Amino acid sequence: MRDRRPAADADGMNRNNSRAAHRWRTALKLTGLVLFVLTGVGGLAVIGFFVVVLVGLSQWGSNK
Amino acid sequence: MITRARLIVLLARPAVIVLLAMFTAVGLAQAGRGQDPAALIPPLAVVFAFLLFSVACNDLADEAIDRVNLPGQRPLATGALSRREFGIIGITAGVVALGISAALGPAALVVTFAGMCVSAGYSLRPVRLADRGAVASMALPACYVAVPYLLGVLAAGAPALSRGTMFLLGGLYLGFIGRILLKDFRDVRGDVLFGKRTFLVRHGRVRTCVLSVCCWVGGTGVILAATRHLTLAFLLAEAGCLAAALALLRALARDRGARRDEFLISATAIAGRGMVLLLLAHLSMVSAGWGVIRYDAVIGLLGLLTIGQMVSMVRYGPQTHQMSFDPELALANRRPQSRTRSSNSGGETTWKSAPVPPRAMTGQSSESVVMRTRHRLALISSTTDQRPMRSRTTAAGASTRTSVS
Repeated sequence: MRDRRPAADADGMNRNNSRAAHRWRTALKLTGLVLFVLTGVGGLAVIGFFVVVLVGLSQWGSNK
Repeated sequence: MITRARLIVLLARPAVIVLLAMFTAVGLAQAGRGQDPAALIPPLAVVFAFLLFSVACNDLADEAIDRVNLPGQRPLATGALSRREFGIIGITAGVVALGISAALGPAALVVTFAGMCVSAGYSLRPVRLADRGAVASMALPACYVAVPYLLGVLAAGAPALSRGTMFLLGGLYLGFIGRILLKDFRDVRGDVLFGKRTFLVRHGRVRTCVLSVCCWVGGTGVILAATRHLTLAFLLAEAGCLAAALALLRALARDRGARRDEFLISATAIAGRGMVLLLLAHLSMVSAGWGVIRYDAVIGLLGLLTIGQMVSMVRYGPQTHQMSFDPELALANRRPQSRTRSSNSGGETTWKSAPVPPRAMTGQSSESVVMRTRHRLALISSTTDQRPMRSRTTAAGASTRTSVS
């Protein structure tokens, strides 16, 4: 299937949608998932919950 | 009804809810009940109602400023809710917060009431702490950090005024001041226009970054000194996040554009959230008696995750949301037309269609891309050097949106 994502351009306007950015974000989500499982299995689901939420917030770009 | 419920959740600002919930969980963990999710529910209910009250006060007081700084993002500024409805929501939320906190005990009631007084004083006249520079940056963390943290401690049945508890609160409070100072970069345009004398407006970019650095370093030092059963892994993880945050603040001290500022501030916020989460994980795992290997694995992964998110934010910015291609919109935009209008933010909203030249910024022909971007303000050594912050360019059927709240 053809990859429709735009390539990064000269001034970086589309960097946030480049393949490298997707790879980074996927790696971070997987790390978050591992942490979620690790803490959940150990009975500390609250930490796992916050990990997942904060990964989401960080992708979104909250300044708080 | 569903729309109203969604508006109320949006009104409470989900990112802030999460942050306050995390401080509540830290309070609970500090009191030794970090592994008890059920104990978290009552203080969280108080915190949510308290936040609604605070936001209602703030939005009512800042309606005109929000129209400039955050056009289309606040329910009151957009007209989605009326001032009367805001008043009702605020009063109801205040009563609910006081009612539930009374059930948690007299100390929780005092904390909630004091927090509501500070919160109302922050936004409402005649006190209006928000206009008073550094005082505003000290008052807001009192609401955002102290109230949820102390409610968490009290919900666990621990005394709020014990030395360790207050010491840790001091560190969290100081660290949060360092972060909240940076919030003003986003809002500086409206703040200048409406005479809101924030620390950034009064003292400029470099001094704001220097003060932020002092708060970050001081806050982290106090947190590390106050943490029970300090470990090498936790120390290294916190130090790594702090070093990364300081590097970002150094970069922020130089003005290289509003977009760059946005990324740096978001990355600094990631460091702050990561450090609080590291503290929560440490306290919870120590209370639960976790073994060294699992403990080190969680702390190490959390540290890596935080640094990785910061790198991702600085290099790539926030994730954009790809929307589906709309052929009708594309066809409509192919009709020859061109108009430009000024928005009340001082930026421009522009519709341009055929014939349109390819745009270097998107790397594609603008006939195939709608790019909606919010450009934040570029600030300054001197606060008068303002540039248009927001532009919205529509050309055809697919769209990409970047959002930072």
